[in-house]
Amino acid sequence: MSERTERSEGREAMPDRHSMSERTERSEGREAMPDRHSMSERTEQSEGREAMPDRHSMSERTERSEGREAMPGRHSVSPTADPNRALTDALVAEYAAVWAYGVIGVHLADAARSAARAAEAAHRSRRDALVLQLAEGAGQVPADWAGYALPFPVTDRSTALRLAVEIEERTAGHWRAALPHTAGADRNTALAALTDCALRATRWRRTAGVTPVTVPFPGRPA
Amino acid sequence: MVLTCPVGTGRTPSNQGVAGHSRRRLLRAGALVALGGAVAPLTGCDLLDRDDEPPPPDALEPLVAESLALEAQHRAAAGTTPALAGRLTPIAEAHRAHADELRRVIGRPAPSGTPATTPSGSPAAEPDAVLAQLRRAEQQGRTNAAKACAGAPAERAALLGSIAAARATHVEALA
Repeated sequence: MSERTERSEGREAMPDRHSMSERTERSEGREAMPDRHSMSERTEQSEGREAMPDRHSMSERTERSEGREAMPGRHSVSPTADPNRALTDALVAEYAAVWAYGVIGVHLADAARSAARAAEAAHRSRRDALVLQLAEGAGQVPADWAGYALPFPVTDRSTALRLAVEIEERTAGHWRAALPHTAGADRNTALAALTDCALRATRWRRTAGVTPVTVPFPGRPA
Repeated sequence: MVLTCPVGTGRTPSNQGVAGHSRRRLLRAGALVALGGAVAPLTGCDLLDRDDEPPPPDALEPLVAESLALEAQHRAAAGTTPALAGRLTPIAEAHRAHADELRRVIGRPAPSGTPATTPSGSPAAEPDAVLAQLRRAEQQGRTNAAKACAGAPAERAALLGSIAAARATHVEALA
């Protein structure tokens, strides 16, 4: 944690209550989806920084994150003794999802863009709830990053929709991985988050014309 | 069993009484032996098969049955409404996959891959009505799976969560 916290200082404040409100203001200010210019800046920024939490970059990430907050991929559903770890993983996935929808939205129009905006808001809401929950508990709250490396270039509507499906499936995977570490209301929250991600993935597949629109086990590592 | 004692008929009233009594006794004894013969093997089975006694039903058994029922329902609907087959078949397959995975977790493998029989003979139905019925079934299934997930031990929570989420996406896909 310490190393990562240091690294993120000066870039992205730890998401405590104070910075949360800042973030919300900031994001409200760019509620109109970022234009292509700012998007390309964002993409450049993210290069060489922080990979999206995915399965391919797991080995690299694990090395890099040793002793810190790991950024789990969809394969990292191995049981951990620390329930907070599962939730911090979910939080990192939500950070990445919020960021990714900024990229996705600019390549979409009309109803699809509205859907991307609604999805971004939903992930932001999950993110905020997790930040509060982790801050109130004994666990550390991982920091957000200024940008995340995309799993593939997003250049048009088609690739944007593919990323949206990918983001939802990955985020679903992190909430699914949190289920064994939760009980009671927390488990219901994790299940609701998993289900929401799965539903959005299904809607994005339909928008993209991908069939079938469902997968047998949402969030399960492929 | 053979009746070997003499069965006197029509000698004296006293003899008759004895003979009748004797016959009843014999019949009663025979019945008891027959009963004993029937009961003894059962007891024997019980003693011998105690190791194979079926374990108490797993909490997930109802979900297995529900998955198979949903599979059958989708396959039947695909049969009677071919226009929907492309949408319904992947969902039916997902339910079958759920049932298989649940049985694996329970520790009882599927009985030699018998595909769900497609009930035939139902008249072709309006696609909208078919979809509405399937949505209701999936919605109920989603609720049941979510309940199971909420109360499940940790090692089962993820699978049940995926099944609940899958059923929710089925409702969406059937819209």
